[in-house]
Amino acid sequence: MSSSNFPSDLIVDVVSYLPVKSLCRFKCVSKSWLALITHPQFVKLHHARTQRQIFLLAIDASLYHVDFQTSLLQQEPSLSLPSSSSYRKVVPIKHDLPFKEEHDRRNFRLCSWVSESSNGLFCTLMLDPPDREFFIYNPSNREYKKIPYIESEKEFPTLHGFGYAESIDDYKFVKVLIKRNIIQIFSLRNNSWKTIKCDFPFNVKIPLARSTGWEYGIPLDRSIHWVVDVVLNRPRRHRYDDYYYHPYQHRSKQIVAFDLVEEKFKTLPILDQVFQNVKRLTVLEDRLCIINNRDQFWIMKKYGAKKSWTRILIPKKPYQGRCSSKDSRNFFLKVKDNRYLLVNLDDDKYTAFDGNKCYTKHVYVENLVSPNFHTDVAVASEGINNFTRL
Amino acid sequence: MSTAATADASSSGDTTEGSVRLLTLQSEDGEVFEVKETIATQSVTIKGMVDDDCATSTIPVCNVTGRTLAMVIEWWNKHEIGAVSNEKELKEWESQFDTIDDKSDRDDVYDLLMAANYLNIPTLLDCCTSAVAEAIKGKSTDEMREFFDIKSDFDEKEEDALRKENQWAFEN
Repeated sequence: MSSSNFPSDLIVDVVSYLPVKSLCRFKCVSKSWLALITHPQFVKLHHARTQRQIFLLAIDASLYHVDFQTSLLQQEPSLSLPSSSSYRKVVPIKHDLPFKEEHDRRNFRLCSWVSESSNGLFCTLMLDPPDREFFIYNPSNREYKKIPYIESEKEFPTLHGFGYAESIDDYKFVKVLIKRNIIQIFSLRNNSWKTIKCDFPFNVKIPLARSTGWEYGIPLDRSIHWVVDVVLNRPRRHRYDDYYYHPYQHRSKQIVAFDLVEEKFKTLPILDQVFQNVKRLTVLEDRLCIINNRDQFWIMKKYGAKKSWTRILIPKKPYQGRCSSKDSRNFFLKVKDNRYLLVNLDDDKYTAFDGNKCYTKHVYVENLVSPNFHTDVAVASEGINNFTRL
Repeated sequence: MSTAATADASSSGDTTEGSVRLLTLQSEDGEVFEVKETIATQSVTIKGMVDDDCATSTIPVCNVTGRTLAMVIEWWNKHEIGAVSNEKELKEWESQFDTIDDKSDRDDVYDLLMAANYLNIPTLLDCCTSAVAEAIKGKSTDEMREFFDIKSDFDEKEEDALRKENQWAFEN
C-alpha cells in the first residue's frame, strides 16, 4: 500500500478505530501523533467508535483483565450447563497496576467504578494503614492519578463515591462525612478539593454490622447512589454512639443519590417489598438494581419512579453461591469448584473461568481518557494542526 | 477481494432505463461506466452534482481508476435498498474487507479508501477505515512510520521517556 500520500483526515479516521493498547504504542510515532492521540476531541471520537468491553477481575489477590471479544474460545464440557446454552473458557491476563510499586506490600481494593456509559475510570483505594490513599485509574491506558491528601482520611463514618457527569465532562470523587455533616468533593477537571455543607434530608445512620462495600457508592448517569439506614424518629437517646443505630430505633432504608452536577442529595423512592433484606445495590442493564438476601434481582426501570421497580428473573439454578453484576447484560455467578461464570442475558452464553477467590469483578469500556485532565490540554495544543479535522 | 465489475453497462447509449436515469462516470484512466442514478447517489459528491443539475453529461471521476470504480459500483449495487434481501448476507459480503492479507488486497483497500473519500461514500469509508485499522493495529512504531511515511521528530531522550511511560503497550 503506497501510503505516503495518505490524507491526514483519513489518518484520523483510521486511527480512531484502533484499540487503546495500539494507540499508547503509537504515541511514540511522532509529535503530531502524540498530540492527536491525547487530544480531547480525538479521545471522544475514539470512545464513540470502538466500544471495546473489557472485564477487570481480582482473583486470588491479583488483578486480571479479560477481553471476551478476542479471547480464545474453548469448549468446556465438564460444567453441567443448560443444554440450550453455549459456553466458552477464557484465560484472564495479569494486569499490573502501575502505582502498585508505591504500595508493594499492600493489598489493594477497587472501591468503585463508573458504569459503561460513563467513561471507564476506576477509583481504587489502597487500604494499607496508616494511610488510606485513593487513586483514580484508567486500566485501558494505565494512567492514574493520586487524589491529594485531605485531612478527613480517618474520619468515620464516611460515604465514598466516584462518578462521571457527561454534561460537565468531569469526574468527581466524593466523601460524605456524616458526623460533621459536610461533603468533600474532588474534581478531576479542576484538580482541586472543595467542601460543601451536606443537605441530607434526614438522619443517616450507619449499620453496626456492616456488609462489605456499604460505604462505596454506585455511579449511574450523573449521580452516585448509596443504600443508607435512616432513623425516622427517635423516642429516646441511647448510650451508643449517635451515628450508629440501635436495634430498637424505628428505621428504614433509603437510596440516596448525590447529583454530581448540582452537588445535591436526593432520595429515590422504593417499594417496601424490594427493600426487605437488601444485600447490595448495583447496576444491571444500565439501571439501578437491588439484590436481596434471597438473591432476587429488582431493577428500577424508570429512574426515580417508585412503581417501576421490577423483579427480573435470573437463571440461578443449578448454580449456587453469589451473584454479582456490573454490566448492562452480563453478570457473574460463582459456581462450585471455584469456578466463575459470566452469563449473558441476551444470547444465553456462559463463559467460565477459574479462580479461588474472586473478590471483585468490574467491566469497563476502554478509552483514552486521562485522569490527569490538566496535562492533556497542554500536550494537545501542540502540533494538532497536522490533523485538520480536529 | 472480488474485482468483478457489475456496472449497469447499457450498449444502446440511451441514458434512461424506464423511469430510472443513468449517469455516465468516467474513471481517471478513461473507462466509462453507466450507473443508475438511484445507486450512484450513495456518493454524497455525486448526489450534490445531481441536485445541482450538473450531472447531465459524463462525470469525470479523477483520481479513481477503472478497476477501483468497478469495485465502488459493486459496493453501490450491494448496498442499494432492496438489492440484498437480508442483512446477514450483506454482512458476509462486507466481511471480505475485514481481512487484508496480501499486498494486492491492501492496494485494493487503499484505492477503495481514497475513492470512498473522494466520492464521499460514508458506508464504504467506514468499512475501509476499520479494515485498515485492523491491518495496522499490531504494528510497531517503526512500521507505522514506514506505513504512513512519517519521520519521527522526537529526540532520543524524548522518545525513550515516552516509551518508558507506555512500556506495557510494547509488551505482548
